[in-house]
Amino acid sequence: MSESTNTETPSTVQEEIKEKEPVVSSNNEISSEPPAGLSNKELKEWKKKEKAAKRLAKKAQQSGQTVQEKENEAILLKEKKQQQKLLQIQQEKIRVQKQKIKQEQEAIAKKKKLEAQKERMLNSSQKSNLFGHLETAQERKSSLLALSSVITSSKFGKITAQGLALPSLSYLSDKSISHTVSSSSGKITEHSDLNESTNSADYLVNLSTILPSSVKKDLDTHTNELSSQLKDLIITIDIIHPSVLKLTDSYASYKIVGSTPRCLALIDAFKDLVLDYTTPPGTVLNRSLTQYLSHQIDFLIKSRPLSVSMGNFIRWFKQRISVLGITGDKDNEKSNSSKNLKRKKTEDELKEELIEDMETFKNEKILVAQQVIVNTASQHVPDGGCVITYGYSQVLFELFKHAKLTEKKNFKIIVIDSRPLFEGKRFVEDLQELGFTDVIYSLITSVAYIFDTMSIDCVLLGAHSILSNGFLNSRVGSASLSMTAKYHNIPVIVCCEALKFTNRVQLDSLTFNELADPNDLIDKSEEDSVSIFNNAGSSDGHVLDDSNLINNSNDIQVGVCKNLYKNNLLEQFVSEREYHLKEQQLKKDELNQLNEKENAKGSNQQNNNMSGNNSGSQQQNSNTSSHNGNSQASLKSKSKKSKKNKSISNWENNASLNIFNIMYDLTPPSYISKIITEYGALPPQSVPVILRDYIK
Amino acid sequence: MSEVNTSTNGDSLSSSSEQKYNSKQLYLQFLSQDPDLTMPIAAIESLIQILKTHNPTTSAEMINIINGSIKELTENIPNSISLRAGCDIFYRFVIKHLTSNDSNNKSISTTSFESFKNHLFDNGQLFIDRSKLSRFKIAEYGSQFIKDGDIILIHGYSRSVIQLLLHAKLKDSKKRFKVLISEGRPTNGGILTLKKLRDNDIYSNLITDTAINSILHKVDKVFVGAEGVTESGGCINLIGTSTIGILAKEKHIPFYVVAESHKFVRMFPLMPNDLPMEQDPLNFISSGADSKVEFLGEEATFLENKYLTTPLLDFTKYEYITAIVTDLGIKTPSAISEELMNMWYD
Repeated sequence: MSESTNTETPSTVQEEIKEKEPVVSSNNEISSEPPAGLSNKELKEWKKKEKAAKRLAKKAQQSGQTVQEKENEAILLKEKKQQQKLLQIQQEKIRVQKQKIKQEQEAIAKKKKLEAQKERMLNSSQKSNLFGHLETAQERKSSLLALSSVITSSKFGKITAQGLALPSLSYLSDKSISHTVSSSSGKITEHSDLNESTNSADYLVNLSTILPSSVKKDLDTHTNELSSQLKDLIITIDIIHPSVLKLTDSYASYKIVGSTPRCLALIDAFKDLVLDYTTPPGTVLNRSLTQYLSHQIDFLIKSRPLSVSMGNFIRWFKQRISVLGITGDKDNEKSNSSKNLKRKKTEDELKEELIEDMETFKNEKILVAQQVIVNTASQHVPDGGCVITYGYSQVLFELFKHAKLTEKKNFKIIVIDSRPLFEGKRFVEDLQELGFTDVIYSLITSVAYIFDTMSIDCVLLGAHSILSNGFLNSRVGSASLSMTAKYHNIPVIVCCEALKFTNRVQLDSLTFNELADPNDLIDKSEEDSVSIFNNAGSSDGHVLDDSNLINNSNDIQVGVCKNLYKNNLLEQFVSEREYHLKEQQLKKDELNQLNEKENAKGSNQQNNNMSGNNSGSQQQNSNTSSHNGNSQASLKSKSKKSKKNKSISNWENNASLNIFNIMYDLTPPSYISKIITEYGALPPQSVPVILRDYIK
Repeated sequence: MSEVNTSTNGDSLSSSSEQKYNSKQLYLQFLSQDPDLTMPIAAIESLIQILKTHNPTTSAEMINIINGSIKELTENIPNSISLRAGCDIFYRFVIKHLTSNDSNNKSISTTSFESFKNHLFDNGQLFIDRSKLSRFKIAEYGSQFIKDGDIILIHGYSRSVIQLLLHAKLKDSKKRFKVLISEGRPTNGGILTLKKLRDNDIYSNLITDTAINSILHKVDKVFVGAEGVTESGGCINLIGTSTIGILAKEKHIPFYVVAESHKFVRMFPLMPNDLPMEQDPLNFISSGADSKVEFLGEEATFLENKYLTTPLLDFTKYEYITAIVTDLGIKTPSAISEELMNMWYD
């Protein structure tokens, strides 16, 4: 039995220890003399021996002792014996109780484990997919939500005398949650006094609003990893610097997006951190700071995986810290050798040095690098020409700014955007602030059309990272854009700081990528498809009226574009669709009554059937103009989609449906004409040169 | 080219009257004196000559002079790409030495500057010798590619390619091979190549540029020279080269570019017409008296044809190049950008 307790989860062991404690203390109060670890028989023998020894000693020393005294002594001894016996009984009782509790616990734990396993099995069988090895969005989302709850809740988790008190997780005392999940806190609320339980109830109110049921569910299914993750988080929350907390929050909510802005924000946050840092007594700055830093980073990556630029910065920073004292001393020796003044630099000086270095790093590797890139790349922004770009890139923004304001060039910019982040909107806004008048905003879906009809001089792309085999890792959609450009013989130019170069080699986008929340792809589209149309520009242009609309979209700007959709076509479309939906619903009901089997088959057949059975309205449609007919057909498919929407919104329970919202994709080197870095322009094949010689 | 400014002390300002030498004149003079001289080397020579004339006393002045004459050269000489490569190399060489002097001695000592200047003046010939030597090296490396019985296609006139073929024929175990020469309109260097090869008993035939595709499937290798090798590893050469490259790629025939390392140029053209050119075929004359064409008859010569708007150079992308034969060894196109970066950053 004792062996089995050892193999149990640490939480139950911890509990056992706690319950032992009072027992041990009571034992000590009554008889402090017997050494611990003796069995009952041994104890008795030891007592007898003790008595004999005492008697002998008394006889030898105090021969003049009265009988009464002896009797008293005997009575005392008897009492002692009785007390000991009582104690033993008590101990045994406790032991039995404990065993019972243990057994119960084990049984429960086993049950829960089995259940969890079953569920996991079910889940895994349900959602086995191509990208199963990536950290799922669900996992991240749940940890994120827990994270934000930890950040936002006023009452932080604390390590108390009873163990780890987890206010944010106190709802776990709910019976549906297994005991393996931080059972310490659960037990506390169950067994301890009223005060605590009321406390936890109080928390419960707070937290039920913060932690949605999805997290709860995740905790059921991914018990161990997640709970331990959360525990780690909550233990470390107190030592996380506020600016890092803030940064994590803005990463997680996509307030700060893009490799470069994220890296800049990180540098700034770390500056605050270093400034506020005081070395605990007994340690050295560079050692303790590194440790402290890794806690921060562990916390930070819970929001989103580190970008390559951030990774490179952190690597540099840690290296810099590790040599901090050493180089400082050397400098001191050099500079002060003449004065024979060898003093160690104070902590403040070291910190100042560190912050200064961070500032230089920021300038050198990002800001100045960007300027150099801009100077090189500006030759590709043709006066009177047209460039196309994708999403948001800070370097490209600087480039366009330079070309417009410094070089006074006039050119057209096409900003291609995509769901769900819509970074391009921000880009367009920023560009318009600079006074760009010739901006076209469109979605990636219309890219083929744009390339077909407009004369574009070059494609300019930013980068998330560039891999050593020349692949470009950038926001998902860039690859499609570059491929289309290549097809149309338009050069693709990538502007990228050397900071974003990585030694990694990757041949496809799935091996390593970031999965975003699948719900991002769904939520909005359901409730208000109208707003999507407003936002999306010509995204569904081909679904609408082809000939009419897209001819117009040639020269319209963003605002005009919106209005156009809003006023004429969209309203028409929506009303048409609604009408059509109704009509089709009626038809479908009839059809369902007629034969259900036919209905289950593919959409084409359905259409055929409907036209066959109910030719009245269909013929009317076909009598109208040809493109109208097209739009009708697309309307049909659209309406069908909206019917299926029910199953899409319910995708988490639908075993056959996976939603794939990926963040980055890879563009093969053959699609890239040129990469511009601060070290000059190079073909994608020469990326290893930069990696080998210039990034140290 | 007789009088040289001898005033060394006192005023460092060189007045405009001393500017006897036009860098362009010098450059053309050097080229005409030595037919074996390549354009980048001639450019370097003329730059040194100009420095000698001006005899600058400070490094800043030296750099100013060099910059000015480079500008003058590149603006006044048509087809300035390989010339630019030479100027780049020289400029970089000077800058590197001046800055390294600065860093070593903490201050610009006049002695180090003077010694560097003298070194530069004295070793002007060194550049020329080296460049000629490099052509031999290239011939040695490149002739490995030629096998007995090969049919080789070359385009226009290139000293390095001819040197390579001669080396293979005469020195390198006396290989037996045949050469097809495309004439290389509009400069028609092919005729000169034919003469040089036939003088050395190499089987060779001249074909028109338009005939290349009709015989290319029988060709084993293609060798072309280069005006410049760009950062991307592509090459800038006589018009028509890129066409041959594409055709050779399509037929899986190895396409070698032969170029000295001083022809590596810091340019990055993206498209075949992405080069500075005097005549842009995309510049259309719509109407007016100029646009009328007089028919000159069957005998009209093409060289002086005033209606011709062909650019003289084109750019071959690295995708079409199998290897680049340089005096530094056989390089893949992607290795060129490494070489260039090493030149500029180390």
